[in-house]
Amino acid sequence: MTSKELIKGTLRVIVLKLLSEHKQMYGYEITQLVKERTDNEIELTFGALYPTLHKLEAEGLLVTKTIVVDNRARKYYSLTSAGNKTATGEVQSYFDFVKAMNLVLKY
Amino acid sequence: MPLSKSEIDYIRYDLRKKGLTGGDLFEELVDHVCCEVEQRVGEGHAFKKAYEEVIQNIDPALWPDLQNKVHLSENYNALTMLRNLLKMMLRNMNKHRVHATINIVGLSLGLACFIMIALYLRHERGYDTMFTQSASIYRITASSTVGGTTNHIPTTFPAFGPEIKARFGEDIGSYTRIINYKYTRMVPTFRHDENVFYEEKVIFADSSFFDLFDFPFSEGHPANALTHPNAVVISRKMEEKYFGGQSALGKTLRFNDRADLEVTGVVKDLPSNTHVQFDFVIPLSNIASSGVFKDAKFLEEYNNDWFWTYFTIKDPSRAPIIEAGINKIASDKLPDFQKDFNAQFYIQSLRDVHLHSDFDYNTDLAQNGNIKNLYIFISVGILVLVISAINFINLTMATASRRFKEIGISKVLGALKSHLRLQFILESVVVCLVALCFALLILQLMLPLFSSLLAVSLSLDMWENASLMGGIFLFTILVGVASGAYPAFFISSFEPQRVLKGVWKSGKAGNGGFRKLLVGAQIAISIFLIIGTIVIARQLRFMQDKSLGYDKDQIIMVTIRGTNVPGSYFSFKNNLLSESSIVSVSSVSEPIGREVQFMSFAVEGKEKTQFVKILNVTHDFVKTMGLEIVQGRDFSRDQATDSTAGFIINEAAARAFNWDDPVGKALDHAGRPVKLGSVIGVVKDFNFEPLQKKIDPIVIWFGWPRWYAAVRVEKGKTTEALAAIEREWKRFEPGKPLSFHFLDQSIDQVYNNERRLSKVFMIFSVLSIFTAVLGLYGLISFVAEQRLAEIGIRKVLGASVSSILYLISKEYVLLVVAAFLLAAPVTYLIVDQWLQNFAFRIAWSPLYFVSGLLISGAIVVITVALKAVKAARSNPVDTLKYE
Repeated sequence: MTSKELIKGTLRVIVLKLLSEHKQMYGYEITQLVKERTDNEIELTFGALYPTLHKLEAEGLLVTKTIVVDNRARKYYSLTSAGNKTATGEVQSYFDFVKAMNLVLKY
Repeated sequence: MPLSKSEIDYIRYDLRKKGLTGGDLFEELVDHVCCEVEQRVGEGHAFKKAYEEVIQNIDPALWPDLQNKVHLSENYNALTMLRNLLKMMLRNMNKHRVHATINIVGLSLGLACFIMIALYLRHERGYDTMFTQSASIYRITASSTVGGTTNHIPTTFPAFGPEIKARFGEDIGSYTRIINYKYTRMVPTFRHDENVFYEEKVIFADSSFFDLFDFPFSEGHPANALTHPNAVVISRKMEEKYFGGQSALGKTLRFNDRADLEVTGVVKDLPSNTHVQFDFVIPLSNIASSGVFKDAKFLEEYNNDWFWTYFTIKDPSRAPIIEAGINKIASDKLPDFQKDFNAQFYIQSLRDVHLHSDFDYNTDLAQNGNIKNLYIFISVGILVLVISAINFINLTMATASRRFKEIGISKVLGALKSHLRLQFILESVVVCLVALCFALLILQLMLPLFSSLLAVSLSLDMWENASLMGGIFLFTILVGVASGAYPAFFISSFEPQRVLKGVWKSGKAGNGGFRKLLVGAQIAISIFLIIGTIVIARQLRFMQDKSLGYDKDQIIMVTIRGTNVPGSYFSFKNNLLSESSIVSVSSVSEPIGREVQFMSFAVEGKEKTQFVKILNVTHDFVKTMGLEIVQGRDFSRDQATDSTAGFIINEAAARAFNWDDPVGKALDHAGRPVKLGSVIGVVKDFNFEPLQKKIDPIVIWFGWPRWYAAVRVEKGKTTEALAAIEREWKRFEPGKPLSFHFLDQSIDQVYNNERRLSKVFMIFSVLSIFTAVLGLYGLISFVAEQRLAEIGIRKVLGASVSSILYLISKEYVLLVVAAFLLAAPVTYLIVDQWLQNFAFRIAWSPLYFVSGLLISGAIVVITVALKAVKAARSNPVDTLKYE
């Protein structure tokens, strides 16, 4: 399992990237998708995920929509236009960062 | 496979039980958990088992923490939170305008009063602390006991100064002797060109005066200002008065039309809190210019005890040794005096002068303060503050329950306990701070009024009073926190569904009792203030109205001492008597109504020397003053011996001398063989001294007119009489202005301190009652609102309006009675202490207590009724339809 610290630092990018690929997602969907893509390597806890989602919402990068599904409310998150820009930027800077890290660690 | 509705409800229920509060996030989490469970159920697990597994995977203990995190991430902006809070607060206040106003007005009044009193206290305690050497300055005071009466005076013999310096040179720094011009019982004049005025505040002092009392000079040098005899140092006010806007330095003032004095210094305006008050200081070496002494030789003698002696002690712990030393000097130099008068000498620290002096004859340099009155002021100030703080706490607590719905909704929407607590506390702190701002505003408006009422100059200088302001600020915050804490901790812990359903109502138990206790305390304080105000006002009234044994109205006292009028007194008198506006004229040695001096007599039938107070008068004194002769006669022009060997005594004297038949009894000088004379008449006792004093024996004898002329004026003709006096004055004394006072006014002035106390008491009791009523009104309106439904049901069941009124007001009336029972004895003890100051005082009457009870009771009942009537008359249909 990947260390919590690393997930914490990158969760923002993960959420932004996933949402930029999908029109809208809800919390559970995000955790499942991450699990799937990483082959159970990264498992997001709600302790980390929901604060991040809400923070992004408060920053105006996400908007939410609540739909009643199967007798319960489900909250979907999607990117705002500002969120889209931020997503591109942050993913790019993450790759730059990884490149730099590689240089440092593989030296 | 989707979960069924009941399964989802189970999950909801269980999550709530595990400590999650409702809200947006809660729904999200439920959905998340449901998805996980659905997945497991899809893999073939039973619902219960799947749920358990999901829950096990995520530690629910962390969930409240998660909610916290989410909220923090949302509300990371403290400013936003504050803004929201303020918005909520303003909306709330707007919704309950009356309560908000009561809250703020009440508290700001209390704070304003308290700050005002604190400023006054600071002023009084700061007396005489402005001198560099304040802490080490002392003065000599004396007491003498004659005829069983002990008198304290702050003045002693001039020779003490040099003598203590000679004996205790190592301990004593420097000394200065001061004598007030008033010892001559004259009022001096100063003249510069056309400007000539009588001056009251003239002192003579040693050249070291400004070493001890280092008042800042605006012109001249303190060190050599008093070195040459013909110098005079004046206050800036006098510079303005005599020299207009010009510099006085080096200019000449003609003193008493007798000597020219050169102005060698001008002192900046004196602070109001020093007892060393003067407008003119003349070197003691020039005392001959006062016209009473030929030279300054007597400064080395032990003859006149009219001198203040101030000195510095280098090591204050040596003070008792110096005190003993002064008494030793006295027994060395004047053993007889010490024996005859039982004289004792003390030293008094400069800092004790203002508040811890109790001297007879009103002899100090300035009117001393009264620590008792100060204590009364402080306690009243604290009481008003307590009342308003109680008010605030009480109202905030009471109205908080009004906000159950708001709190419930907030909680449903996911507000955390800590948020609600913060909200409530911040809210009441903000209201308190608003009140503080108002208080400062009120203070600005009221301070000039209060200053003139107390005859002091107070100013609200923030920097000077930094510690006071800091204290007030902290206190305000404390009141805010205390009053916010109850709703914060009590209400915020309720479960929202109960709060929303209205299950919890302000019950009779618990905080209801506590609130009632607070209201009771307020009422008790108000009762104390009401009774105190009544008694003080009655006593004052009593002193004004009491028959003094003479007729103080329609008498003009003209000061003739030190003028040419005594020399031509009889023509002056006859000229006046020819006026139809003037009834009679006499001369008298005292201004009447002030303290009177003693003389020693040998009294027929008494072996020991008697010390008796004396008045020197001329013909017609009895007639002019309106005294009543009970035996014998007044001084008569037909009896030549009356003016040489006649005495009139009062009844108190006859009693003291054990004379059943006083007329004809002999009175002689003590210790001298000379025959003086005998009693020719007895007058009924009259209050020749202030009413604080009992009526002492007095001897009235014939003395040549020198001091005052008492002129009795026809009623309604005061203006004509004054014009006549002025005209005759100009004829006999063209060089000096006329100086006179109305006897009734000057007698009234003696009670200025009491009048001041009465006014302050009155103002504060009105304020405190007002505040208490405000609070009570707020509380009752709240209670009545709370009980609207109950009242509605009662009415439906047939209760009458009056029975409902009775129901609501009953407990408050009981509260008043309980408060009264508590307050009455305390009031009696405290106010009686004050009354003991007066030899002539009103007797306690149950009426005072009854009126205290009735007034407070009436105010409470009216306040209650105002609200209760509305509640009782409301239509039950309206009040019940929402229940």
